[in-house]
Amino acid sequence: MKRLTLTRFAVCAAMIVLLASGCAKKPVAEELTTPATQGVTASETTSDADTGIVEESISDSTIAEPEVRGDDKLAITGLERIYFSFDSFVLGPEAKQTLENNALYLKANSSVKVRIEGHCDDRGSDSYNLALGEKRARVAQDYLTSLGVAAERQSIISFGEEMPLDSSGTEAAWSKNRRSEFVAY
Amino acid sequence: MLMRPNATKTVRTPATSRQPKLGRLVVLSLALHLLIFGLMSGVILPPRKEPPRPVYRVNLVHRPVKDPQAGRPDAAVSRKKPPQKPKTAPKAAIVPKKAPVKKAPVKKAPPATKKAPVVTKKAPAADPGPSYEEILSRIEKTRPKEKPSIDATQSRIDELRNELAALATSELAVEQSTISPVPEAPAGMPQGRGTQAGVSEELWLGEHLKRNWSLSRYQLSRLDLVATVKVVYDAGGNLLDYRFLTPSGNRLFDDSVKKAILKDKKLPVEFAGRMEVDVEFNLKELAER
Amino acid sequence: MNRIGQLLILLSLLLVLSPAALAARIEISSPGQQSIPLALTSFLPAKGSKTMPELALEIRQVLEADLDLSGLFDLIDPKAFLADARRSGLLSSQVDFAEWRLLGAEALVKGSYRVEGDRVQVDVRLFDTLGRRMLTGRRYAGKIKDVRRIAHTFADQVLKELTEESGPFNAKIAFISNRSGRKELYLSDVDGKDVVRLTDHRSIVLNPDFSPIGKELIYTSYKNGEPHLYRKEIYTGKEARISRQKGLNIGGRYRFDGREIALSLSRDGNSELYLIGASGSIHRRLTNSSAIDVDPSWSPDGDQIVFVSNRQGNPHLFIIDTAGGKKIRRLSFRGTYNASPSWSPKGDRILFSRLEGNRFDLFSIRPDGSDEQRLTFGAGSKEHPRWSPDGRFVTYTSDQDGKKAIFVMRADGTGNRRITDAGVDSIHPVWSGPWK
Repeated sequence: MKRLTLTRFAVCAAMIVLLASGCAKKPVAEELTTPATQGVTASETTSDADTGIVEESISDSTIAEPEVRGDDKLAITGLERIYFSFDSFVLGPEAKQTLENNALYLKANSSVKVRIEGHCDDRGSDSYNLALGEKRARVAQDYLTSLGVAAERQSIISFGEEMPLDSSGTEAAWSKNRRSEFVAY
Repeated sequence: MLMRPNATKTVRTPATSRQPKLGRLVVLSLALHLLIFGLMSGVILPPRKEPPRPVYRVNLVHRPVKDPQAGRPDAAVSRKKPPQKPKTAPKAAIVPKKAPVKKAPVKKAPPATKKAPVVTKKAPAADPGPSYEEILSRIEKTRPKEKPSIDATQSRIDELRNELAALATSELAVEQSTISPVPEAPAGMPQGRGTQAGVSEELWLGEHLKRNWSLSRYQLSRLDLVATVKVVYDAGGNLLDYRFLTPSGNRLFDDSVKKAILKDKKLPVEFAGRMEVDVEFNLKELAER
Repeated sequence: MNRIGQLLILLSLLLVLSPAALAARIEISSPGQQSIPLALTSFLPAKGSKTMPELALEIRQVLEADLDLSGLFDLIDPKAFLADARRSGLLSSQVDFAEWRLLGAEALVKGSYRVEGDRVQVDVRLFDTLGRRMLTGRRYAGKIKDVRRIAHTFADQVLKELTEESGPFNAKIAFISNRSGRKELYLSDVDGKDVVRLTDHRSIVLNPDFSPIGKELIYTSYKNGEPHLYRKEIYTGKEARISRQKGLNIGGRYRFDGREIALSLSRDGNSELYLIGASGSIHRRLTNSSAIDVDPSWSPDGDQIVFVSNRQGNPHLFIIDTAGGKKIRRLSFRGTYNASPSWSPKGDRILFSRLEGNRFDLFSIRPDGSDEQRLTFGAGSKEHPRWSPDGRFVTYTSDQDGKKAIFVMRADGTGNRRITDAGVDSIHPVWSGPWK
């Protein structure tokens, strides 16, 4: 009898392991179909934004603070770019947060108009990337509009894969290039 | 895969009274699965080895005969004509060590004269290629000294045999070039029924025409072309006539077939009599790729 | 008894009916020699002409590269050539065919040139060494700087003679490059030589396509800030903006007769396929979905268009009838990212690129979705395949040697070679028709 329970225990354990491994596989499969480095991208995005510090410090006082970012327009306006996963124009939580901050800025500066540029990494069809870039610009525009920024103040354009921030062709560079930029004028 | 998670679920339900049976079933199932896995993977039973299928390659080294005997086409052709000296010849051929010694002197005289007309495309002056003697000496080197260790030297021998075949297609040379991994096997054809050593005349001719047939796949937009040609040679190997029974209809293909036939109006062999063969030219092997 | 009788009848019938029993029959299922051994001699100065070895070398090199790319030939090493290679006689009675046959040559190209001032006359002939006859002969006259074109033209002639279809070598490849710092439109020979810049927009120029009639190109440019479609006459340099709808005006492709252009417009807020006239007027909207619809490529008869859409999730290839009916058929099912389709000029296959791992490779598939074949392997991302107009070759981009560069290969994926500098990005190649 004891032996029986022991084997039963062993079998149970084996099954659980099997089950668990079966479960563990799913995320792997998803990673293959969706961008392989979603996590990596996100962390890289924040670390990238850290240099600007703008992201967290945005409040009423931010406007006065001209940032030390390399990109002049962004620094002056306080508008932050947002990033996307590979072949995606879905706004992640971080992108939404950034857009909310951008909306605050635009509302505080009602005379400023903004051109939203959609960009992609350089893999795949350039035409597809132009269309995808347009979607990335439009989704940002729609979100800003939903946050109360008048649609007339915004225009969109797609540059597809034509204006990368980093053309080194690495995974990190690609995730940097999949973005929407906000150019005030 | 679907079954297992379900099974675990039931094992873990509180209906413990039915557990022993179920547990036993699961154990049994697991054991059976393991057994099947073991059987399939070869852990328990070593995987059955299929003997490699024999591949017969007809080559021009063998003399074409009207009535080939059964045997292996890659077997040694005894140097002395079998019908004449059936008793002594085989024995001499069997001893692998002696054979090379015997061969060397016999060969030296004829090749020099025979070589010139035979040189076909593979021996351009860019790399004049090894001479007949050189190749032979290389063959001797690669030959197994004690027991013929077939695997190791087979590929090298094949290479050399091809070179040799290109150089020496004259009848005399044919007779002497006996490079065989299976010296004891009778030389002949898999489907042979006759008494003569050598390949059937038809197969020899087919192989010869194939060599002479040059056509690039890039010349054609389709590969399902077939042409059948009747070719007629006299006993001396002279082309008497050829006639397209069914042309392919593609000019380039039919031209290439015609060229293959006309390239040698006099074949370097003699047949037992008048040869009349229907030859089908197609591109099945190209299409397979 | 009865049964035996039946058997006998059957047997005799069989004997009568099978011709194999009467005449021996053999089958040869592939040529023993699957490329044509070709001797390509150096061109010699004609009697009384100035000697220009560099000119002779250039002709030979161009011919050799083209003929090698054709895949038809096995080029015989010139070091093996004997006395006849140094004799200038071009008549078949003057050629020592036995000598060439000794080298294994079945085809022979001989030629001569005559230089007078800045002009050159080139005589060149292709011989059949077995038949001891000339297969084709040509005399070209032109400027010395035109010798490359002369050589390409004769290569086309050799292919015409040996395959019954002229080669695509006397043609141009248009492409986009940022060698000036900006993406501009360039034109070169099919071997990448003789590069000319066609635009000076100093913005972004993209995705050219040759007009099937006349020497014109269409392309997208941000010249005026937005991605609009332009047309340029190559020799006059005249440029016209033919589509400037709001949003994207991209991926323009001429129909076979040049009368209609398929492209993607996003005037409705999302990229859709449209047909427009050669002057830009909208003829018809083809697609209607909230998904991305881009990269149209016409079937040669103009009845169908293959394009890229993510309407079912990932980017895949779809085929739509241009006559309307709106029936859309999905073509690709494998992979997660299929892009830049190109329908073959003969209509039998569609080239495209597919993401494999994190690199793209080139594939081809029949329009009915069968017989998918992978054409490229190895390092680098291969994208944007386009056919040569005869459907036997393909030009594409690959970054295997560094930056993205233009490559050409045979349609079966063999014979790949880079034709532009790997130190500077060159993309979006397209192969022109015969450049008369």
